[in-house]
Amino acid sequence: MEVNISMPLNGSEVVFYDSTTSRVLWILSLVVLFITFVLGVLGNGLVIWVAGFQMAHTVTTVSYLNLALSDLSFMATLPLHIISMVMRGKWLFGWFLCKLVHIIANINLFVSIFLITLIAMDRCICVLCPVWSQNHRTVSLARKVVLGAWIFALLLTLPHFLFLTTVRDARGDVYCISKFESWVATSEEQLKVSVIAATASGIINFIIGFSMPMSFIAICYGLMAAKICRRGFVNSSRPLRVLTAVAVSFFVCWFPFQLIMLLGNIFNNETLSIIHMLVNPANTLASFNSCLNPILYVFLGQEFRDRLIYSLYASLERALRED
Amino acid sequence: MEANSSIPLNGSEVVFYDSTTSRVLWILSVIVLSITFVLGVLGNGLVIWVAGFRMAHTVTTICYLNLALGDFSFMVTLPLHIISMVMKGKWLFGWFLCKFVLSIVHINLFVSVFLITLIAMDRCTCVLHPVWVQNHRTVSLARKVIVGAWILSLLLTLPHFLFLTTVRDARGEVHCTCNFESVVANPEEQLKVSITVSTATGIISFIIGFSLPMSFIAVCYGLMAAKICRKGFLNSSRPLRVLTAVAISFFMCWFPFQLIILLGNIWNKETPSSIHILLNPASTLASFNSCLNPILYVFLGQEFREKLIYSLSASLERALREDSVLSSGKSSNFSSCPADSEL
Repeated sequence: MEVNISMPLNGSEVVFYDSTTSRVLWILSLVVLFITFVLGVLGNGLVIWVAGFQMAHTVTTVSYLNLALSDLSFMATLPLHIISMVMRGKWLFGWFLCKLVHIIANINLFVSIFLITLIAMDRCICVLCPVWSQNHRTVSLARKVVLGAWIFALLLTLPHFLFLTTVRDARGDVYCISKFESWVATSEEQLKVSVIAATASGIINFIIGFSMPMSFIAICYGLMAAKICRRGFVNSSRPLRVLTAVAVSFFVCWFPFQLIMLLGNIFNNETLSIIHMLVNPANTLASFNSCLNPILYVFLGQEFRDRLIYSLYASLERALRED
Repeated sequence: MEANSSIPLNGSEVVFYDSTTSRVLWILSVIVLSITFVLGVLGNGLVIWVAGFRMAHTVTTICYLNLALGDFSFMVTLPLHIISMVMKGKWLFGWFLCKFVLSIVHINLFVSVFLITLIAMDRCTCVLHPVWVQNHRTVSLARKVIVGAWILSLLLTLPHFLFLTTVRDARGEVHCTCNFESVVANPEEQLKVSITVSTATGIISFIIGFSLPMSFIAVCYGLMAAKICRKGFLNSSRPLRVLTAVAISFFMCWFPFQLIILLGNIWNKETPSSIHILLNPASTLASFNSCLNPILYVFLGQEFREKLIYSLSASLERALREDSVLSSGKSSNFSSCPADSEL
């Protein structure tokens, strides 16, 4: 049974070499994942509270609210991934959680990129077709489109859901991987189906989950730049700055992972050992994206930075001053 | 050669059992130590900058500045401890750093508790003898006392410095541990000396580095409470609140470690395995104390907490809000106010 390497954070992907470099990378990945979990739960929870209950619902708040919901659901499952990584890929949580947790990881991947693309397209339409926006851009329409994004992500995740299960190896250890036993009888056929399924889903993930959305976003930016450049793009408004930060951080965090997965699929039988070694850190960097957005929202505001620095300084001074 | 169990974070103390519990504790310790390193360097660096360069030097600022210096120097060496822990106790950094780094750990232990005791005694003196304080409590006197605390810490660390060295075991792996080869010739005598020194230093560390200072602090609080209680102790001044938080956090972080080391010394040969398992998390908790103080200083201020929460909420709202011109619902505003429509 070949490991389905297109599954992000699948414990069975964790490949260990008894070398210093791989051990250090492993430890660093765990540390970053733990920090990601803490910051992700707190940050996304705060966004959900502010965007969901404190602010009026607009197209923008609905989009960012759903982005935070997706990130928070992934953050809630992150401790299981961490424990599985600590246990060197073994899965202790049973068949149901094996399916559920990895489905959530995949859905988060697709929903995040779809929502960022929708926000970019929304902003592009506001710039290029302001009159049409006034008449047709509504919160209910945004809700329908966002719901469509969720459904589409679910459909794309369905194959993983069907095939993911727990498998016991010769030593009695249990892993959470894709298995085609119920579909194909012979071991040779299973291996063939596994390779084909891994390659197909890897390519689909890369095209639909990364390169096409990124292309859409780039096109939107090109169109907006063409229209706005005479007014000074650098001094663009806050919503565009927020979107830019979110899109750039998504690209920076997910590109290494997507590239490694693509290369792993292309070189399926001859995958280089360096790619195996880098899967773990790339996974971790991709996961880190889920806790970055709330931090970006907050720190993009100049007022917050100034106030925070002054407050820190003033609080320290008061604490250390005598009566 | 028996490991000197009184050395906190000595790599050779890290005992690994191939069980789930010990592995989880080990991983958690590494994670907490990494967080401690980041917060400790940033926080103590900020305190050093504020107390050392931005504020006028007073008795209080000098004490907290030195406390931050002790913590900061320990934080700087923490990555080496983390790497040694990841490598399951092996020491990769050579003989000099073996002595230097572990001595810094001990100095930090003693200096921290001495300075907290000095701050408590200073505050007690201010409360009980305000007139004497007006005439004799000076910055230069505080400097002299603090230098004395550092020197005493150095003296108490000297035995570790002398005997700490790198030792290669049968498998060729290098560990940083105490070695008495240069003092005693035969292995049996070495073992005996090792046990004696380990027990002696453990007890000395517990008495001078923990129980005696904590007793002094408790006495000071008793005396201050006796005098202040009619004024409402709970509404005590800010300096006393800061000191209380620092002293309590020190006690909570170091007590488990000190207790485990003491028990380990008492039951030297018959130490239960649970003590070995708990040594790692206890060391980690003790290290965490070094990054707690700056956090306590900042969050003790009610104004900071309220301002931070409001700023977070307000910043999020502004980030998620749309352009005001787009939500106004009037296209004429869009075309008639081009400056507002900048994206």
